[in-house]
Amino acid sequence: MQDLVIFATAASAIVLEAAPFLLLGSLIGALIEVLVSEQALLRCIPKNALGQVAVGLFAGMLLPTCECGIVPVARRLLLKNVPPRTAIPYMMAAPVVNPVVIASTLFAFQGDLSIIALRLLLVLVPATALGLALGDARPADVLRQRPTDLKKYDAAEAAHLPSGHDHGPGCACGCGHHDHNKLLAILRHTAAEFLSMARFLVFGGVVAAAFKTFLPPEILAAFAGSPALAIAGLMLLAVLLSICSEADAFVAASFGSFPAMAKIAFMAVGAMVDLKLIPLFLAVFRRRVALALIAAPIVAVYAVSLALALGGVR
Amino acid sequence: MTAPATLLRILQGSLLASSGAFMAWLSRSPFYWQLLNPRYSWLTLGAGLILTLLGIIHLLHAGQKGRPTETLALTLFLALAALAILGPDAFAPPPPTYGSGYSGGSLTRTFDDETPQQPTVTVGDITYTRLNLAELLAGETGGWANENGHFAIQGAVLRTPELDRAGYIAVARLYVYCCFADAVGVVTLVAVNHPENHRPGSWVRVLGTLTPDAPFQDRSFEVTGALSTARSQHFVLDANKIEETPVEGVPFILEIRQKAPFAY
Repeated sequence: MQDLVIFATAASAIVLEAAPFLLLGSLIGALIEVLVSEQALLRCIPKNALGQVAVGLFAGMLLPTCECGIVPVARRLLLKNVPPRTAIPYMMAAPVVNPVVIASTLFAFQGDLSIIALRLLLVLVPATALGLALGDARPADVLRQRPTDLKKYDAAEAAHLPSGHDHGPGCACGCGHHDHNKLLAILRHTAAEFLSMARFLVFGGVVAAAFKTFLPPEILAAFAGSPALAIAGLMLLAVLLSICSEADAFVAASFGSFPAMAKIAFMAVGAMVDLKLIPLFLAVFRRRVALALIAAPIVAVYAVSLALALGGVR
Repeated sequence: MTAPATLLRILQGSLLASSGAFMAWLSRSPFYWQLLNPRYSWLTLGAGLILTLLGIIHLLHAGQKGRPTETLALTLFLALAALAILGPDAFAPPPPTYGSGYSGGSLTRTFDDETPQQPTVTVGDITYTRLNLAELLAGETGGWANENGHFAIQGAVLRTPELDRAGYIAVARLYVYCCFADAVGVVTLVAVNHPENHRPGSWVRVLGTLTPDAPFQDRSFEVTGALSTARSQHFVLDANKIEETPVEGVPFILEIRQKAPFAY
């Protein structure tokens, strides 16, 4: 019974911790949808490919958010025809490339700048690679055909994707964006988006809490022996535990017997792929894209971490 | 909209509003620290109030449909939260034998976190700096926990046969930075003359002197609620005085300060 209560406590805590950020992400998405015109959004994005990727990589410095709330924002940006090579790098990088997470990582590792530099590197490499790999893909190429749970708005929004239709004044699409009703439209969008995303948060949180509660700690010790195993072991743990990127540095710092590169890989991959994010990716993006969003960070973080560890870094 | 769909929407709106109301209540309740670091209570309160509003809007929005998995997820969350708060105490002290350390106190108790604290305690002619276990560990690199420094710490006693043989007890607490799910066990080894005199699970205050020692290899001990534990590889606390005391503040470590007065 003790384990069951600890499991319930951990699962509830994950949901309670992430819910405000998921709500914020849903609200930002709704605000973008209702108040920001497509033209205004696209004016902020450079025309060339490298510039578009760069804007995505570092947008988190202006709009800090953890991975708990990033998917609704990225999804909404894509629905506003922001190029995938900006929105996808933003989604992958912002949970780490933001001032809050940088500060918490520095604090957890007692001001060690090399740790934060390596963490940023391990996130920027796969985020950049994904952005560039997407090439000239359009939002409709990466989003699923019916990407949201906004129900009555779905058909209208899906129809808007190819044409780039904007819910401006006089729009009669039926999705609630009437001039006189913008506040209500924002609130309805936020509620629908939150409900749609929260189920993945709850189910992911339950699985993550089960691993936290029932995984024997001695299994961890078996991975600490070699860099290859240590990096793989802590990366797997990061995916399973689904710890928020604002707090994961403190957990990473506690793995005293593991090499530093394994701890950094833990912090890098957990912010991009975890049990909360995987079902969200699969629900929002086309299957091939979702699988790439899961596989690319894992492969890149492992390869770069191992190369750095074998090369004598940390 | 069909009658079942309407019922599902009403149920879903009610569950969303209930989840929001629960969060708002929790943020002001004495149970909050069991789940999340109280520094985030304003965030939970704000999110709870907004979710309550959104739930009501969802409830009244006749055009909105519910999805069964969304309803199931909200029901599951509320059930787990109820079990976490109303269930049996997961952190009750273990039987007085060897075993895992616990995280201190009983979760069904409330704790006074407003007690004025003195930064030091003087016993005899020695003044001890009061700090928590995480601050003691961080102080090794931060420069405030040096060899031969005198420190007062509190935590739960943890014993294993290996620790007994080496002449140590471990004093443990959980460090919760954001929420219980990311909790880390923090342990300080305390050199004592008679480990068997100290009851596992009891909450103690230790007055001691920081002393260099070889790394202790035993990894068998664990702190309930933590997947991993952090402890010094260079120092132990050589006990001058150990006494069982009530928990001062909350059992979990919720803050690490980098200068006196420390959080204790």
